[in-house]
Amino acid sequence: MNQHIQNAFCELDDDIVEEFVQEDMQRGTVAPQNRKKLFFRYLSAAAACLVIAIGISVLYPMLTKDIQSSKTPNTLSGTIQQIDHLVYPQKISPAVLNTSGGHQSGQSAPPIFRYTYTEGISVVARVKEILPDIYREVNASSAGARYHVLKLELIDVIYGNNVPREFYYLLPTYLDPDLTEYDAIVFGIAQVGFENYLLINENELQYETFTFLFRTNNAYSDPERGAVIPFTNNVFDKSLWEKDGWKGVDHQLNNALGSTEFPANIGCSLAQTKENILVGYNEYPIKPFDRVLSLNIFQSQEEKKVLDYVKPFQNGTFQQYGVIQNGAFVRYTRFINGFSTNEEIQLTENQAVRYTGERFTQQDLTSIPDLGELIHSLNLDEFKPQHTPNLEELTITSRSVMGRYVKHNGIVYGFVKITWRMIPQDSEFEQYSDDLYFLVMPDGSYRQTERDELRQYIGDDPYINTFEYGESTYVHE
Amino acid sequence: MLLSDEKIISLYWERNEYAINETDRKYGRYLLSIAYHILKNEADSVECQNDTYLRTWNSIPPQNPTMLAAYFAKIMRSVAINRYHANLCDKRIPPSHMESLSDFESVLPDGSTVEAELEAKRIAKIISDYLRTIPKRRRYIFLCRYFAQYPTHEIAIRAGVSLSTVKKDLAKTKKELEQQLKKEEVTL
Repeated sequence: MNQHIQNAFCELDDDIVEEFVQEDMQRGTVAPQNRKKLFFRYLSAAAACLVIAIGISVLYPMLTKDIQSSKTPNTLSGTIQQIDHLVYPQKISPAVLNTSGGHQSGQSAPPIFRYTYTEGISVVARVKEILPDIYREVNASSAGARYHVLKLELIDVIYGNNVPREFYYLLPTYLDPDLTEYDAIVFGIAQVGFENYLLINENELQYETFTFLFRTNNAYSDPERGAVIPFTNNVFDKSLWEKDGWKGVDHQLNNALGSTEFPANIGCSLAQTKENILVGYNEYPIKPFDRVLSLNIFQSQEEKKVLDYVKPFQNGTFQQYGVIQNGAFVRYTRFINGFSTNEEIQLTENQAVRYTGERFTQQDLTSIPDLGELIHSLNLDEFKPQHTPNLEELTITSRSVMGRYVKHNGIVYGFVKITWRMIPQDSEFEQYSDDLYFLVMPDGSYRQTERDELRQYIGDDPYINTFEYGESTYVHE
Repeated sequence: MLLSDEKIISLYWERNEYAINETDRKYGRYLLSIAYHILKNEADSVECQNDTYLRTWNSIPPQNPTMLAAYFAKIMRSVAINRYHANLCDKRIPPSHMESLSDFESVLPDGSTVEAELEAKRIAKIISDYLRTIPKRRRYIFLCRYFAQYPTHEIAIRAGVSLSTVKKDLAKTKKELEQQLKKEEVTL
């Protein structure tokens, strides 16, 4: 085929591609698998469920024994010195909650993606505790999400390595977190952070660190690896889907129950479910990353020194961003009063430590301007895009506000940025952007400024926008 | 609870970062498989997935796609193919993967022009119209091969037919499509 024809496949009509994608997703992404194996897997699951239905009282002791005698979990026991979380003694600025994403303010910075592919772990656990408060992510770009935090106790590892005996688990707030009534729950989990990962406690307005935090990335759409499947007396319990927020899953579950890929079914045992999950992993074409990582992978003297430096709350507050995939890297960014700074240190497995920005000192921290107070005092509605000539012809689709500290040539400055996105009223394919900056001096005084002047003070910070004023971007697929 | 496409799109319009989370939960794994079938490299595929999310974040608004799965799939395919060519230029593709990607040999970037884009769109329309006229199974098999880049043995499993049926269907569809394209004066 010639080049035009090949390129044409990127331009096929949406309805054709939509029909294909929907059908292909239904047929499953478990891809290369033996249909006979699937048939026997389904048959064996159905047979197991039938046996359980007619003789559950006979099988129950055997199933219990099966769990108790299952393989010893491969855990990090011994390496975790601090399982409970730490609390930062000082309160953070309430303005942080209003400047970081969400429905009202929007967010201009691109999303930060991390821990995107660590779903190769499935475990059986029970809920030991539900923390009473609501938590948010620290980094601005994902702070719109709100979570319950559950403490889970590991019962068994179905697939994966180095899973701690106890760990914390993030559950979106729109789901009822009370899972304590189930004596065993299968979770497909992804690691969110290393030791001492920071979250913002929204109720107390304080930082808290968590040692080994996990979440389920595809709670319902990825059923064959476990997702969230509750059991009572070792038999699949559908009652979870009657709870608040989980009800919408019912339809998805009914579809899944009719699918050979779903590892559980009505009346199905935990043992059979575990077996089905293992089959699912073995048939998946991409081997997932299957181990929990600890900071002890960073062993050089310099790395140890860095880890000591960023220890929670001793030298200020550092949040970690990391990627765990074919190795790992973790980047620590200093946060002050809830706002990011330009001080960063990156550790990469088997590579040299990378430092970015100037190091903040204790002296800096004692005399720093209060960005939170400034943002709180601004009446944001008073400000309009100033660099866009055809403003009256545009509709503002979002407004975001962010604050940041930058240490440059030994001096700590702050800046506050407001960014607008706009579209013409007669076109969906053009987008205009505009922004406005306040430069905050070390003594707390501030003034409205332009990008160039800001750069003269703080250098070329990546958070200063670079788009052209008054020029639209043509957005196409 | 998976959000509806409409709700996900509204999250993008509200500039709510949760849009990315929900997209990932609903389509993430499928998108990853699209890139993986083209690149055969897990790390590159994940990067392409992130690029796709970023492009989506930057394009909605102003765009307001009505068919979200198609929207993501087309972006992901385009990003993965670009990455494929970049890897090819860097000679980062293992020789073992070259054969399965031979269908792409003629797509090496040559500095695309407006004329080339228009021609690609015209051909896409002809192919789309033709695909609407053939049975659903043949359409699915054809797109598995030429849109998603699945190998034929995997298509057989997905479509629930034998390998020889896949090959016969592909040959028949390709022949008919060639005739249609010739009729429309497309140079093959």
